[in-house]
Amino acid sequence: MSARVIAGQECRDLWLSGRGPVLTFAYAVLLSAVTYLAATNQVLNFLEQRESVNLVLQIAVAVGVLLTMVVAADAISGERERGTFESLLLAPVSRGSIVLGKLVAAMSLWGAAFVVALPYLWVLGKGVAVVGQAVLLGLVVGTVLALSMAAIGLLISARSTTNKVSLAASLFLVLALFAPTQLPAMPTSSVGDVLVRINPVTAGSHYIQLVLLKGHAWTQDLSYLISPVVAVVVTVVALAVAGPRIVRLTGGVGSG
Amino acid sequence: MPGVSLEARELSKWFGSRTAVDSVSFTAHEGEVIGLLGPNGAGKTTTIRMLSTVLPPTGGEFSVAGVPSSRSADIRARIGVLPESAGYPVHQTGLEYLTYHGRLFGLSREEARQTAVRLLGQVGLADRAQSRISTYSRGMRQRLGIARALVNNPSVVFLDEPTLGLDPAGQREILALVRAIAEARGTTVVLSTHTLPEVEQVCSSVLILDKGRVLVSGSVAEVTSTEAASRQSGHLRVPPDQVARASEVLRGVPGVSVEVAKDVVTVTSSDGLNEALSAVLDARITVLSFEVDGVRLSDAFLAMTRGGAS
Amino acid sequence: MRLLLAALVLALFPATASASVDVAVDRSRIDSTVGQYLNISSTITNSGAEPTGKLIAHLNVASLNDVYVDLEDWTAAPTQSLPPLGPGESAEVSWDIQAVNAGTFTVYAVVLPGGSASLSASPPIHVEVAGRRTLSAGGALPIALVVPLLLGVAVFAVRRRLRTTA
Repeated sequence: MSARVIAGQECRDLWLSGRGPVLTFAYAVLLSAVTYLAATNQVLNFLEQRESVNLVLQIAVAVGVLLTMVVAADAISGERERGTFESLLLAPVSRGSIVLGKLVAAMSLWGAAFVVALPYLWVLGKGVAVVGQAVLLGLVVGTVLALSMAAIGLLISARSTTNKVSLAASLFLVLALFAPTQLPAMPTSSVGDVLVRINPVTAGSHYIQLVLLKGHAWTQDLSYLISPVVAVVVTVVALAVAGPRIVRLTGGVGSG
Repeated sequence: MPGVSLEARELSKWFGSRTAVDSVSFTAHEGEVIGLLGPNGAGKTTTIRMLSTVLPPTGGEFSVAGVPSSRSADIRARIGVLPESAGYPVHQTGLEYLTYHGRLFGLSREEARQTAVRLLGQVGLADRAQSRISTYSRGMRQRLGIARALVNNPSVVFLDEPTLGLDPAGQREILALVRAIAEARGTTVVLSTHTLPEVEQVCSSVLILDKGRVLVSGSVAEVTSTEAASRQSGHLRVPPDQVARASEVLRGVPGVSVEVAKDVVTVTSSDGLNEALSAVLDARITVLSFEVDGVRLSDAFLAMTRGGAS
Repeated sequence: MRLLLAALVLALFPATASASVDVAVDRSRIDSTVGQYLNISSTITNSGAEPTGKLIAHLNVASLNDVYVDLEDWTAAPTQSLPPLGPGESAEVSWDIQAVNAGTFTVYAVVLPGGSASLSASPPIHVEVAGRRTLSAGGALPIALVVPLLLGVAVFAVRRRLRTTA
């Protein structure tokens, strides 16, 4: 009940008076630019629609997850700095409810990002029967990645002494995880494959490529989803267990 | 005697090796306004944060309205707090802010809204209910914070430096509000401040803290009289030709210090002034007038904290 | 005389001289369009009586109508290693390739056994790659304009609401 009240207020704060609409607008501008170039620009050498759909989906997931993590990273440390967190801690609600409410609010940004991406996927993928597949892949892989990153973002935010530290640490983490997806394709080696598989972001991205681009069956490469699923389970459990203990008035290790 | 609404026993808090609060014990009754007085860094805010369950104590225990400190959520349901330098979500309106906090305390949407409207009226913000908090002055924000502290009809209200940064008119408004809360609702108010006149104006009892320890506690009258008994002073007026002799006689009385200005001799004694006055009369010095100083809380406070506060 | 005898033995009993490997592919013809990803699956069987050494499987693409083929564009990993196969054992190898040029091609897999044994090649797969499907700028442009426009209006409305209630 109290988690629902907190989630509702956090969502109102994010969407009616906060950065939610502006972030989503910027995200839409980015997807518009990429979609238009993918559809028209020969220089980008897009070979077919599937590849364009894959590109837009990968960007939609990456940026959507990034934005979700930024909102989560600000959720606790930001409130501490604005001086509003103490009032929340003074309410007779559990710390778990506070964490859950903030997690839901952060995930609402991923939900909006996903919905905004739908028309772009549709316009690029229509005619090659790939839209449904792309939407489902985005929903499954994107939600799993967004949830794990939001949980990590909240843990970092609860632990950080300042909001700057929280945002910097979260951005570094998410960029470090996404960086390998930008490396050129290399001949397969067992070490390279292990590195792709253990990083939930690269593993999820690779799975999307295999299904969407290379036409593999959904079940053929399910093993690539092991690390994203493990990541989401571990981070959510960590948040549920550690969250109530580290959500307090001051951040940092050993404080308060 | 009203019932006990707040009881702290040997409450302590250490941050690493630094002691912030050291074995603080006190009791507050229903309808009482208790002043938590002390210089900066005395441990007032830490004490309030422990009593409001935001900080876990390192040692000791407390109870609010009979609820032990182990049941922190139940305690939070029975207290209202205006934190020191509280921040506000500036994009929300005053009404939205109070309604949200009412809902956090388990009120339905409609109940929370009605409570918010009523409290905004009580703190004089009815006409600004629909305005964004960003447009509120500091005094209005403090009043909104006090309204938030009352949203659950609490048994005990903690106000941490509620007049900090306010102009004299704003300070008067807040203090009047504090008095009204205690009188009209029978709520116990714990008022943390380092401004002495505030305590003298509104508090029925006082707890003076310094370096995390309780120096003295009791009613304002008790604290001042305790100090008065130990450090009483008076102004003795004698004929100008007898000033030197009066001064000489008084200096012979044990425990008495003397200052002379024109024809007035100021006498200060830690053992009362009776002996000093008797000595003057015994010496057949003409006493034109003798005026005993009224002792103020500030004297007690400054004496106990060695002038450490403003 | 000795030399003649050795040549006779080799001609009569080639299998005993080295292991024999068969390479089969899963289809003989693929029709595709430029850019499409294709999966080529191959079964490599040791049909000899002795175990093989370590094997190398390599996929190759050859153009039948003089189109330039850069194998690296078609697949990032044309060569794969296989463990030794015992007599009668077989192993699956597959390649994801992308048809990067339009034209007619032959795709085939070869296996390079260790030692001095000869190459084994699969039957050819005939691949017809049709020309490029051009994306429609006309379809993407309205979406690329309308979505940010709608969100921009929403942002404006939220900001205006904040200003009017201030």
